[in-house]
Amino acid sequence: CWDRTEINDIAFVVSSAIDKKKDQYRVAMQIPLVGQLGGQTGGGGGTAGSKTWYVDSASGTTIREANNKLQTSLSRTINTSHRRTVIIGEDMARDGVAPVFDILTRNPQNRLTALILVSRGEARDILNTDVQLEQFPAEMIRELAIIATSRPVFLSRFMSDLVEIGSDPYAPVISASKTKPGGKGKSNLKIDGLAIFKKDRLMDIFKDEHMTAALMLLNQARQPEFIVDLPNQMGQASIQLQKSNASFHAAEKNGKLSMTIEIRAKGIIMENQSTYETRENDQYYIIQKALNRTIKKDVISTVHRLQKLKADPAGFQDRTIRSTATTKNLLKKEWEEVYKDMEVHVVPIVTIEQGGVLYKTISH
Amino acid sequence: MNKRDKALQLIKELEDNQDRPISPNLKENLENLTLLTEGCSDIVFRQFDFGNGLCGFIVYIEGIVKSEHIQDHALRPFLMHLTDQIDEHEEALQNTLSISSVALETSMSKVAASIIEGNAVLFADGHSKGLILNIKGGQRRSIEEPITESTIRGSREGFTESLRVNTALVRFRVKTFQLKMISFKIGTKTKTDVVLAYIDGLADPKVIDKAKKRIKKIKIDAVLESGYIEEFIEDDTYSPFPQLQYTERPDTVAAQLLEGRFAIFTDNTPFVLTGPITFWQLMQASEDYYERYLMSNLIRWLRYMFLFVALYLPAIYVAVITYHQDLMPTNLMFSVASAREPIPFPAIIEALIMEISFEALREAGVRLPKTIGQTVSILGALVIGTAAVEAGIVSAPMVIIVSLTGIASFTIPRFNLAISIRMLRFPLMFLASIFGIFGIMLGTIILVLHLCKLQSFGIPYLSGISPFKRDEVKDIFVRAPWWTMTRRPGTYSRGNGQKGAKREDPKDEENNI
Repeated sequence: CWDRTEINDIAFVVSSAIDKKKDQYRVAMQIPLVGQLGGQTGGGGGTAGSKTWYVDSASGTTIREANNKLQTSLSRTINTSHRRTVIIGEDMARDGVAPVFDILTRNPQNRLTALILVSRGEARDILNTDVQLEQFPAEMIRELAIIATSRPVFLSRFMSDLVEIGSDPYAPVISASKTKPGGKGKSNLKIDGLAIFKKDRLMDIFKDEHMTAALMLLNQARQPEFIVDLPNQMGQASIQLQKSNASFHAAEKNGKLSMTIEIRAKGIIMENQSTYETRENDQYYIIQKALNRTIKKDVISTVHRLQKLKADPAGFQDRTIRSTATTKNLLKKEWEEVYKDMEVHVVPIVTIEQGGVLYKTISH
Repeated sequence: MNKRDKALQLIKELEDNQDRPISPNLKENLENLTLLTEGCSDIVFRQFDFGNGLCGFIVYIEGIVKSEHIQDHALRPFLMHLTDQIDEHEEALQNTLSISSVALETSMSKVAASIIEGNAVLFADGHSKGLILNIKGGQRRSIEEPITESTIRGSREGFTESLRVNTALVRFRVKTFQLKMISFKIGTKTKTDVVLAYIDGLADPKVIDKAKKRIKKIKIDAVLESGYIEEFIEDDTYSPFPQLQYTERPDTVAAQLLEGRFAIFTDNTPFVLTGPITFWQLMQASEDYYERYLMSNLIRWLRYMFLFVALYLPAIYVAVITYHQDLMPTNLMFSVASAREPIPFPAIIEALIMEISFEALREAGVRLPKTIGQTVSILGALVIGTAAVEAGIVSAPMVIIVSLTGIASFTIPRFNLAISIRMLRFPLMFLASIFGIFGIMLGTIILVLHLCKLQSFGIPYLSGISPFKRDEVKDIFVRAPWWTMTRRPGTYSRGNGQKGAKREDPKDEENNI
C-alpha cells in the first residue's frame, strides 16, 4: 500500500530538455495533460484550454536540484519511466554532457531506450514548439529521431560510444523551424544535422552532404540521396542509395596509419534531368561513374573534417586496435597524432540497380 | 394414544427394522397398513372378493406405479385362474401373473418399504405373506438435450431424473459385463438409490474401495442431489477447487469410465458425479474428442489462455496501473490515464465495483425467468457499460477488462471450475492492490502450492504434470490424434493400459491394390 500511486497522481514526463546557463542547469519537462487527450468527458482533471501538453522548467546548480524544484510546483509525482526523448541544449553539449548522463543512468526509473538529441539553440524551445502532426512535440521529436539514423541513438548507445575506448558518440540535431520562410507560418521541428562529439563535448554539427557522408561512414544512413552533377553540362540526377554498407580496412604504411573505406550500395535513379538514357548501357555507366565520384569526394572531405576535429565517431581507433594489419608501434603513439596523419582511401562500389520506368527524359 | 401417535410409533418401529410378521388375518393387515399410511391421500387400497373364499387387497401408491399394469397383469390373470394356492405353489403363481418381477415377503417392514419404493403389494386372506408386484413407474421427464453441456458435435442425449434410465444410457454405450454397478441406498427419509459404476479391470481397485467406503459412511436423512454426496466423499471440502466432476452427458460418463474412473449415479438428479479427477480434465470439453484434433488443440489452447485471463487480468490491470506504470507501452498508458482522469475511485475500488456488479448480473441472469432475463441483461449491460462510463464513474478500459474476464470465465468448460476461478480472482485483485505484481506472484505461489497438495481420491490433482507422466501429456496441453493415443492414462487405470493400436496409413491399402 505504501508505494501505491494512482495513475491520476502521476505526471508522465515524455521529454526533457537540459540547458546550461553559466553555472546553472535548467531542466524543462514536457508533460501531457491526459485529461485533454480525448478521454471521456465529465469529471474533473486537466487544465483549461485545448493544449494537450505543457512544459515547465526550473533551474538548479545540479540537475537533480532542478528536478526537485520542478516537483515542488507540480501536484503530481514526476515519473520519467515513459520519457523517450532527452534533448540537450547546444551550449550544454559544447560544455560537456557527462553530468546529464550520470543522472539519466543512475535512477532506474529512467529508460535506457530514451533517444538522445542535441538541439540547435536552447533545448527548451524545442519542447515549446507547437507541432502540427502529432499530439505533442515529444512524439514528433521521437519519430524524427528514430528516422534520423538507421539504428536510433538511444541513451544506451550514446553511453557505450562515450565510455568505450576507440569511438566517440554522435547524435541527431533537432531545430525549430517555421513552415513559411522569414519566421512566419506554423512552427515545426526538423532534423537539422548530425552532432559530432569528442568524448562528451560537442565539436561540430555536420549538415547536408557532410551529414549524409558521415551517416554513411557510421553505417547509419537510411536511404541517403545524392544529387550528382553529370558530365558535359548535362544537368543533374538524384540517386537514392539502398542498403549502403561501409567497411574499413586499416593498414600500416611507413609507420603511418592508412584506412581504406569501401562503400557498397545499390542505387535507384529517382530523377534525371539529363538526356542520358537509362536503358543504354554506356550512358547508364556514365551516371554510375559520376555517382561514385560524388560519393568518394563527399566521404573523403567528411573524414578530413573529422580528422581536423579529432573526433572519431566511426571508431577508427577501435578498428585500428582490432586490425591485424597494424602493429603495436602505432598504438604506442598518441592516438590523436596517428589520427591526424591518417591516410584515407575511399573505394565506392556503388551500382545503379534501377533506372525507373522511364528511360528517356520527357523534356527531350 | 391417538391415531397419529400410533402411526408414528409404527413407522418408527418399521424404520428401525423391528420386524413384525404379516398376519394371516386380512383385516389385521389392512388395519395396520391404514394406520401406517394415515393421512397419505396418494395411497390406494384396492379390495377384492372373488367369491370362493378368496378375498384380499392390493395396496400401492398412486403415481409412482404403472397402475394400468395392476389391472392387466395382476387382477385379470388372477381372476381368470381363481387360484387359492398362493402359499403352496409359488411357481404356479409366478406363472399366473404376467408381471416381470414378483416376490413373496413375510415381514411387514419389508412390505412397507417396497410399497414406498413404488411396488404394489397383494395381500390375500388366510395367507401370512405379501406378494410384491414390481410395477414401478410413473411419469418422469423424458430424455432431453443436456442444457448445461450442449455441444455442436456429439450425442444429444442427456441424463434424466430417473436412475435406471441413466444407467441404461451408459449401458447403451459401454456394452461389457465388466461395467459394474454397485447399489447403495442413502438417506433415512429419502431412501435415495445411489449407484457406483466402474469398469472392473480398468478402475483402480483401491480407488473403488475408497469410494465404496466413503459412500457407505454417509449418514444423512435426505439426498436430493448428487451435490450432497459430493461434499460427503470429497477429499478436501475447504478447497475452492472441485474434486469431483459432474456431468449431464452419458458419453462423458462413458469416456470417464473407460479411462478407469468411477461414476456415481444418484436418483432424482440428472447430474452424475465422476472421479477421481485432475485439474486438466476440467479444461477438456467433450467436443475436444469429437472434432478433428487440430481444431481441438487450437480451441484447447485458447481455453488455457483464457483461463489465465479469467484469473489474472483484473489483478494485473490493477497492479500495473497502481504500481508499475512503467510496464505499459507509453501510448496505451496515456489512453488509460486519460480514461481514468475523471474517475473518482482508486483502481481497486473501480475494479471491485465492476466485478461485483458483473457477478450480480450473471447471477440475476441465471435466476430470472427466461422471458425477463434478456431484458434485464441488456439493461444491466447498458447501465453498467455505457451509462457508468459516460457519467465518469468507471473508466472504459475497466469495462473492457471486466467483460473480457467475464467472457474468459465462460470459456472454461466445467462450471464448477469456472466458478472457483471467478472466486479466486478477488483475492488476487486484493493482493495486486496491496503488493502489485509481487502480490500476484504471492497469490500464484499459494495457489500452486494448494493445487499440488490437493488430491482427489488419492490421485494428485495436477497429475500428469506434477507428478509428470509422459503418457498423459498427450491429452493435457494437446489432444493427440485418436490413433496415437493407444494407452490409457496410468494415473487412474490399472491392468493392461493398451486400448488400441496405431493405425495403418489408409493410403497404404490403396497403393497395394
